[in-house]
Amino acid sequence: MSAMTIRQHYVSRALIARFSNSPELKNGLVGQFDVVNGRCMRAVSPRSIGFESYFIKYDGDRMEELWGTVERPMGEVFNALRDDPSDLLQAKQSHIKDFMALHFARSLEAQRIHIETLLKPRRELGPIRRCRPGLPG
Amino acid sequence: MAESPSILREMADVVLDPIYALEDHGSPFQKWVEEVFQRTREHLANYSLSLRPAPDGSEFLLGDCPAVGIAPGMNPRRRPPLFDAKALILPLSPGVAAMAYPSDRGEPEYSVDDADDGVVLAINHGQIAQSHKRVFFRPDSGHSATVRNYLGI
Repeated sequence: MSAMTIRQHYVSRALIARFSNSPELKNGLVGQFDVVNGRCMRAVSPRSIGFESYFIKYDGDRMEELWGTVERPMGEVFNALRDDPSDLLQAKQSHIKDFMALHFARSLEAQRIHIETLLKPRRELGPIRRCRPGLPG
Repeated sequence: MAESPSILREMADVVLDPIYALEDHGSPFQKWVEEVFQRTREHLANYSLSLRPAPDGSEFLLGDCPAVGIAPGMNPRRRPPLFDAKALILPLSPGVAAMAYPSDRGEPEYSVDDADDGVVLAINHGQIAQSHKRVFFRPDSGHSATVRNYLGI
């Protein structure tokens, strides 16, 4: 896997950037709240949040290419949202729905369901013999 | 019969160890995510799409699991399966959220439907409830208080 795809966003960076204090510039900052520990965190760059290293570690380069085909057309959609040309958005609705499908599938919830499904037989049959990396023991 | 549980555990080791080895490799998760993506994409192609602009003075925030499904009687912290969901909602910016929903009349429809403050708050609560780690928002939005209020802290 290339160094580029080690950091894999489960929320598109371009989407997070829309919630920055400067969506049109690359140096915008996004506010964030840690819902696990219940604390507000300092605002940061969109590139430094919403990702995990090796989120999809197998075939990661190809998956990033696939996500790119969905994310790239969204640039025009984000511009249209800012300028409000409804006709253009209507023409781009398939891109918006694909972008929704991407975030439904490439998600922390999908990861949780996958891990739960994987561990269920072990939980029902007895203790896990050894803890594997990436799986909660 | 008393030995059954241990026999089952041994069988589980034999059956599950190769699966866990594959999991270490990462291929089952990759295949599953890609399959879910393709199936969701096909499914949503037949859905109607409504863009919901927020009113002045109100804005959306973004959870880290932002494609939120809604279904009657759902656990707010758990996303319902796509086939059970009445709608899938994704904020696209502080000013606009997208909502995809099954088409009643065959052909998917497209509309722009203003969201009032109550709808924005409900969507924001859904984003917070289904977040796993973080909620993101525009720094000056005041949404730190929205999250605190919803979480009761």
